[in-house]
Amino acid sequence: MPAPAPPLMAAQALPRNPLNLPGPPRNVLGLPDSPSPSVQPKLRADSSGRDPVSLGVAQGQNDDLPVPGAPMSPIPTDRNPANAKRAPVERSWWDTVKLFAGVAVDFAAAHAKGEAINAGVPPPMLDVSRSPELGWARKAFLARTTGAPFDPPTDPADQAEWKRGEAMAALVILGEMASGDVMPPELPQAAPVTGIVRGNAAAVPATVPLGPPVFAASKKGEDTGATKESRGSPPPERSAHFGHKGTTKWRTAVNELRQPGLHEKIAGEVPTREEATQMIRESGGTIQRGAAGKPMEPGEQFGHGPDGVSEHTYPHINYETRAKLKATVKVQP
Amino acid sequence: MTTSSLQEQVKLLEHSLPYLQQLRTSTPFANDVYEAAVYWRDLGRSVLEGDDRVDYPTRAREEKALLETLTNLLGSRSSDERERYVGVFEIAKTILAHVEATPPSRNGHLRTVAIIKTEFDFLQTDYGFKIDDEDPMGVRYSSGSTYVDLQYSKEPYLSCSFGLESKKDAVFWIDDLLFLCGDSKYRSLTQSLNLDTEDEVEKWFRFVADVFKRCGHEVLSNQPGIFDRLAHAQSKRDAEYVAALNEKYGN
Repeated sequence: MPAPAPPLMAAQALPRNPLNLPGPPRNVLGLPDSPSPSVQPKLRADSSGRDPVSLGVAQGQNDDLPVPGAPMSPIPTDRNPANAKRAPVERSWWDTVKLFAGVAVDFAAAHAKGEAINAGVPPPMLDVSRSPELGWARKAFLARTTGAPFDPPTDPADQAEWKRGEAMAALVILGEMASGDVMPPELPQAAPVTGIVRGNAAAVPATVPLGPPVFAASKKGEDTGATKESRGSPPPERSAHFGHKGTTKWRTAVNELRQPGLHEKIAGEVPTREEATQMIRESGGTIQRGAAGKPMEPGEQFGHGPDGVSEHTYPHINYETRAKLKATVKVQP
Repeated sequence: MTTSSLQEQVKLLEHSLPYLQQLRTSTPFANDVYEAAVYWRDLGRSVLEGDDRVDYPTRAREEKALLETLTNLLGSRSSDERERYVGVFEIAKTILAHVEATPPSRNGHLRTVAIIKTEFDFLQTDYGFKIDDEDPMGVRYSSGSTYVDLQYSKEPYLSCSFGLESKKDAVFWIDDLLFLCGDSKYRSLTQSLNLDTEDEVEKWFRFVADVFKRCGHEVLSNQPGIFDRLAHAQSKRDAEYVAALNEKYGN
């Protein structure tokens, strides 16, 4: 239930204006007195009582921003002292081994990064955290073995996968330690960003254009092409209308979506809702209404009626560009 | 208007949104008001949070036009509806006035604009380009015949595009220029960038500027046939990319 709104000077003379009411909005259309259950959680202040505006928490219609109350991090939120007195769980020898390996890897990775910086090699600029095609197990594996910046999932089902990946990484690391090999491998790097290329990075064909580090460095500091993990990755996205992600047609479409205004076609095609959703996100835009896989109003799903101000009488997505300008793209029914 | 009064107005609008949302399915007009109110709330919030990506005056003008349209439409609605929405429109008017008076970040998001202007100064001094458009996320240069569009983006291709003003549908990217120039670094420009700090933004645009200085003379001076050769290079690079994908994953 929203907090009572302070009286509005402009609305003092309007007894039926909801903003003038000391309590919840008055229902003038026979609708329920309180927002529907599906709406209510989105609009409340957080549990601390702080105002959502001051928190900067996105609410309401923005399809691409987190819903308040949804799990945001693996940090436990239960701070009830009574729950803190649970019996300690004894750690198994295998957990201890994994923990030890994990700490060793973290320490060595930090050391290697420091050495690289001291040697004048800038830190990596790859953003592998947005690789959508990697499973949690692979992400965990890469995080442990390459230092890739993946965060653990919050969903318990995904966490099991994450642990599986960590276990695999621990096995590999233990094997390397046992054989006396140097560890850990160096962090991945994007050679062109700085123009500094180690090994044969620039000469390796881009056989894995998306996802995990393409030029993951070996223990000897050489780039070895696609990593073992990435060789097992699922293929990059390929759409019916725009071909492989990253091709000229795909890029042209995304580049057009970067512009504000109405897009009845992009790169000469009317995209599907899924294609447009993916491309808007790649362009850095934020979907307001009509994202694929999210609940949407009939206006976005089928097109607005003739009585409104909107001229979008066809299925569409409303979004804001990276520069926060309004844009709309028509999508296929 | 002070920041605290803006905050107050944004809160008021925030509190009215559940009510507006309940009403949105009643008429297309009610739906329009609700959707507009969400934008107005978000815009006010962006000012309060100091979001440096937004060109506030431009954005406010866009919303003021919408508000005017809705206000005009409200005039022909029932008295009940007028009573219902007039308060919302008053709040929106106040918020948008504040937003319009908020200057956009001069240096841009993460100093992107300042960095671009420094690194690409040679476009103006050596090739006669002028700044054609500018917002907190980037700068577009044009020589009249050729443009270079530099934007903050983690996708390398979105952060630098160029081409002929007369042929807007043929867009070229930095990896096309590298391919044409025989520099194999084009192969690794398929990865997203980390551009979370000013240093990273500076490093990236310095790299892009260096590519133009090294390989872009013919493009920037629009030498005869250069864009045809570039189109050919792009299509070859594209074919190589697709072939690599097909080889790896199958057709």
